[in-house]
Amino acid sequence: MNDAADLSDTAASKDPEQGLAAVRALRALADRLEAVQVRNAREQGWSWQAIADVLQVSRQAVHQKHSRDSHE
Amino acid sequence: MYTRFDTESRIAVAQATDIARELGHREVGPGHLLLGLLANPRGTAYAALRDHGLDLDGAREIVATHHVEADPEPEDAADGETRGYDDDREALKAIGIDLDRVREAVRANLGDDLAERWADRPERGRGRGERRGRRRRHHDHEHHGRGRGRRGPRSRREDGPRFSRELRALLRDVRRSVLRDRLDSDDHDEARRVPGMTGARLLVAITRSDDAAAQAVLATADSLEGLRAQAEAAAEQRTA
Repeated sequence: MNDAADLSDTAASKDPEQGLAAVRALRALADRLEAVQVRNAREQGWSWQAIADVLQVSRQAVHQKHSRDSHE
Repeated sequence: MYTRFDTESRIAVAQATDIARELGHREVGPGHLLLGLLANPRGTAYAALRDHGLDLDGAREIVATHHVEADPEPEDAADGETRGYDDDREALKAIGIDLDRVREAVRANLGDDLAERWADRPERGRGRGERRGRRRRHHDHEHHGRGRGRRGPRSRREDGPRFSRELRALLRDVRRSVLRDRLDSDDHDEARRVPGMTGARLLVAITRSDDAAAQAVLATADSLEGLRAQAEAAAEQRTA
């Protein structure tokens, strides 16, 4: 419980250093996970359209961003 | 607060940037700004500099040899990947995400190491290979499409040399002194109308800067004291 309070405190920290670092780290994590998961999806035979639907972006966007990472 | 640049100071900054680029320097420093003032024969600073024996060609050579580049800022460093991961692990821990556990799970289930190419975002990996360059363009394009805007500042490297720390400090000092003078002025409105950033003020600030290149050039003046006095007198004159 105490933890939960700490967590929201940091995410909503008034100290820009802390708050912004959390945002940056989340982005880095999201970007990295996206790359890994898209590649995995491709390996499992998912179409770009199917991936795009789940990510809620356009098919072109996913393809442009990740086609180099997944073997086509 | 906003300090307007007069024509001379604007030209000087533009010339300084051009010269730094011509010299292949990554940063524009007080030394380049001095060259910028010397490049404009119509300026009051130019008159003071010439009166004390300085000329553009000689000064330019001195700046070319004495200019010291600062170390690249950390965000430009090519080796930041694991450090980025460690920083981010701390930041995520603070909001309740155990990055190492996520990494472990990903490695176990998918065989990928999250830390590898961590923060390998187009904006951060600039200039490290053609492949990334191509991805970056795609990336930017994609962001436009979704109206999300790009993340973080665009690298200034491709916009040419940037202002060095010393030059930024110098400009800040001039701004401060302009504001001080305004507060002292009897006629506040008049003081506000006149551009505060002038060539002469820049020159005064440069004579006080401890920038190596600027000092090396000024050391060739026949009298640094005389030069500074002349620049100060010109700066006092609040030319309209």
